[in-house]
Order: sequence, then structure tokens, then C-alpha cells
Amino acid sequence: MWNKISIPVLLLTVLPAAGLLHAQATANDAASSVKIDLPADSPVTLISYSMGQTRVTARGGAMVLDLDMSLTLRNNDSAARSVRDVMLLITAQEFTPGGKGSVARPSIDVPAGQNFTLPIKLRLIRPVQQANGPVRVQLDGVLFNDLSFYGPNRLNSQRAMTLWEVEAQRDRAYYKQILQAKGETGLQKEILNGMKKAADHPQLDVALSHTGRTVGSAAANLAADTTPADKAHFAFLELPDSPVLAVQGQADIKGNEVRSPWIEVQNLDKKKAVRYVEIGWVVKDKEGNEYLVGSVPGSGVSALNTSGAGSNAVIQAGQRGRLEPDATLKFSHAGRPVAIDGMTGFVTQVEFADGKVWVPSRKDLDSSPLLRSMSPSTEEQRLLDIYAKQGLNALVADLAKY
Amino acid sequence: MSTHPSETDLALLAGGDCSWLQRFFLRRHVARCGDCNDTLTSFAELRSETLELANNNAGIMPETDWNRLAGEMRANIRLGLAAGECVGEAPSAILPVSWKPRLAMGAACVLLLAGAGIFLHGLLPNDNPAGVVHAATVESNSTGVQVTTGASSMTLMNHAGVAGDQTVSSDGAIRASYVDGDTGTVTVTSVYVE
Repeated sequence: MWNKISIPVLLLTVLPAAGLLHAQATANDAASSVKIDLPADSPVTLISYSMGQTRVTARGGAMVLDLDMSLTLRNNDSAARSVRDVMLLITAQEFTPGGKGSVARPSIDVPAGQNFTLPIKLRLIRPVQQANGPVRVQLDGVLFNDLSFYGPNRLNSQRAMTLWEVEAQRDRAYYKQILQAKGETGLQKEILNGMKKAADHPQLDVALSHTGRTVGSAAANLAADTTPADKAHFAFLELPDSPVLAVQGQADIKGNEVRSPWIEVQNLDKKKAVRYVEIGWVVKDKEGNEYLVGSVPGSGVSALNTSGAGSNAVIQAGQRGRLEPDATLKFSHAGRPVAIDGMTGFVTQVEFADGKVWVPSRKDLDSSPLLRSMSPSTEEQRLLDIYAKQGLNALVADLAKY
Repeated sequence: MSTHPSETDLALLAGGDCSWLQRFFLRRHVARCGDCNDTLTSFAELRSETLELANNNAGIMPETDWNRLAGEMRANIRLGLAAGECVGEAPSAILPVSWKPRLAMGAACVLLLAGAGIFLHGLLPNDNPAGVVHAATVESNSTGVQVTTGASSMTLMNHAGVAGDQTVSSDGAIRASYVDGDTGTVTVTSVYVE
């Protein structure tokens, strides 16, 4: 009898045991392989971190690592500045070479000496036979209330956080002005309008890859796809106060795919060079629905009067430049492709060479129904949430803080 | 014999199928007993009538060759026994235990080696075939933002299923911002293609 049942029995015992050992080792690694790295002179220091519901599971031929971390940081700034924004860089090179992530906490007000938390909820999936490497959490930048910045800035977090902070100041000032001019009833009405606008904001799912770097099967698919794409031109909305004018733009459109967009812009400022421009991008489907999907950013814009683009390229005062990101985007909604029928753009952000930034005013945003469909700023999201969860008095109290 | 013999014994006597001792005693009794003599006589007449009837119907009922029938029966029995020997002994309900430790140990060693191979293979560096490069792709969905390279991916999840406010930058980044329901603070997650 033993010679007939011993092999199945051993298969059922030895292999799962080996798999269990492997999974156990991976689970232990999951907790120990997270490397949190803050510079020695960082104005924010790590007080503690928890791994929460972190777990490893096998799913078919893949290992799934769910990290549910929470970092407690302290503002130890020697200059006693309040922290407004923090951004952390997340990398897992053994999982996703060529990709990285970030987690940021904008619109906070943490005085020196106080703690704050930052959640990191992360899911990593890799084939079972692939190497298991560390997840690195590094500080990329800290923005203070006087808009001064600290950090390695590998993700251009200084620009992003400065723009968030300028938008936050704009929206706080707007609601304070409403409160002062129209009282709490007027503020309540405006907040309800803001909530309705946020709720009406339709979203598309987007997949993005770099056209020039697409290799392997994706490249083969592109090479095999000989169907000609339609050349579609951008329509532009002009904002009265914008220091940059979008002149013309075009992209190749095929079904739900947009390739190689480019937009030509002109620096209208007579004195300052422009280092970065971002064009809000609204797409219209065949049924006439419009979606704000994102932006065409121009970092290291190629000025038309210079040869080539570099990371420090600028558009001089009065000159034209070209935003030409190397990207292919695919749009879908509820799992189904959304065929693109038209595109509209408008200038949403400008960074000058001296580090100053421009964002549209609330008046600009109210000038067009299309602009009113823009996503609320991070600060406006927070204020709307305070009203929704805690009521008008809490909102008024928060506006009075700073 | 104080009692009368049975009809079966008298029938056997009439047919001549009794032993000689039994026949001796039966004939003594029949010689002195009229009833039993009558019964024996009726059995003898019945037997002779049966034989006569069989002889008269020989055209209708062919001669029965009892010897041939007996031969066929014996042949069938031998055939059945021969077939049984070819099939072999009928299996018992429970197989006999035959512990073969060498075979079991060998199988265990092979399986342990296989398990160790799987375990150690997971510790090896990335085993992508040389020359195959996967482009990273970023995408947004209702659960968060994700960067994918080949079969691997990293997803920065939204907390508690909150739908983030998502936007894409055509320079290779997708961002989602959402309000943490517990703390009321905003978290912005982004993924980038390098």
C-alpha cells in the first residue's frame, strides 16, 4: 500500500511546506525590507512607523504584497516654520524598474515641534520566480509656510507643492472673502455650489506610456498597426490674465488613443522667462461628453528660437515655445474605451524662471462652464470635506486659523 | 420389520436401485405384507409403462444420449476452471501492506530537492531573458494609480475605497488626490514613468 500512496502523500505535504516556508520568508522580508531614508539634516524626522495590515499572499503565479504603512513624522525645523506640504518618493526597483511613485500630504499646517502622520497604502505584484527587493521610502521635499523648500527634489516636488500652496492660498482667500462679504449663509451657499461641482466632475481612466520607449510586444503592436491616425487640432480657451498664450496644438487620434501631442505657446510676459507651462486637457467623446483628463506639461520646453530642449530650457519673454511630450494615452470609462472626438486646452499653471508661479484666479475659473468643471484644488477638497463632516462652524473656525 | 417401508424405498426396490442388504429386508417384508406388495407391484407397472411410452414416442423425442450430455457438462466445467486460472486469483478487498522504504525515501528526497529549487529560485536576481525590456506604463483606475513593468506592478491605493480625483500629465505621471475620511487630510499619490 505504501508504494502506491507514498508519492501523493509526500506531494501533498512536502511541496506546500516548501511553499509555506517561502511565503513565510517573504512575509518576514516584507516588514524588514521597507527602507525609510530621511536625510540627516532633514527638518522633518521619523518618530515611528507601523506596518498595519501588511501581508503577503500568493495569487496564481504571482506574489502580492500589500503594504499598509503609516509614518509619524515631526516638524523639527530649526527656523520654527510651519510645514505646509510633504512629499515622499516610493521606489521598488526590483518590482517596477522604470517606474516610481510618490505620496504627498498637501494643505497641512504643522507648527514646529508637532507630529503628523502620512499613510502609505501600497500593493506590489510580481511573478513568484522574480526577485524580491526592498521598497524604499525617501523624502523628496518639504514646503514651509513661507514657500521655502527643503529636499532633493527628484520628483520636481518643489514646483508641484508650490503650485498646490498657491492654489490653497487662492481658495482660502476666496472663501474668506465670501464669508466676510456675504456672511455664513453666503459661505454655505458657495460651499454647496463647490460640492455640486465636485460631484459633477466626470472622470476617465487613463493609461499612459512613453511612445519612444515602447518596446517588446507593445512596439510590435504599434509597428503592426498601420491604420492611419487622424490629426486632431486642439481648441483653446483664453484666460484673460494668463501670462502664456496657447497658440496651436495637434495630436494623432485613433479611437481611444492619443499619440504624440504637441502644443505651441507664447510667453506674453515682457520681462520674465518661463520655465514650465501646463495646459489643462479636456477631451470630448463621440456623444459630446467632456472630461478633464489632465494636462500637457512642458518641462524643459523647447523654445522655438533655440535648438533642442533641455531640463533648464526656458521660453524667453515674448518668445514662443513648444510643449512636446513623448507620450501615448488611452482613455476608457467603466472598462470600455472612449473614442475621442475633440480636444480643448487652456493654460493652468506657469512657472517663471525666477521660481514664481501663476495659477488661474477664481474669476478666471468662473469665466467658462468648461473651466468650472476643473478639479477642485487639494485645499478646496479639504474645506468641502470639513463642511460635509463637521458642519459650517468647523469650516469657519478652520478659515480663521491662518 | 415391524413397520412398513416408505414408498421411496419401495420405488427404489422396483427400479433395482437399492443395496443388496436393503433389497433383502424389503423383499422379506413384501413377501409377507400384501399392501406393500401391491405398492411395489404398482411401481413396477408404472416403470414398465414409462419405458413403453418412451419407446413409442422415439420419433417425436429423439434418443437422449445421457453420456453425451454428461460429456458436454464436464467439458464446460473444465473450460470454466481453465478461464479462472487465466484471470488469476481474485483481488482481496484490502491490498497487502508492502512497505518499501527505499522508494519512499527516494521520492521524498526528489520532492525536497524540487521544493528547495523553487525556494532558492525565488532568491535569484530578475530572470528576465536577456534583451527583453519591458516598458513601464502608468494608469489610473478606481482603486488608485499604478505603474506596471512586464508582469510586475506597484499600485498606490486610495484609502478605504475613496475614489480619488485623478489627473494625468503627458510627461509620464498620473496623480490621484483624495480626502482621508478619518483625519480629514488630503493625500496625493502619484506614479511616474522614468
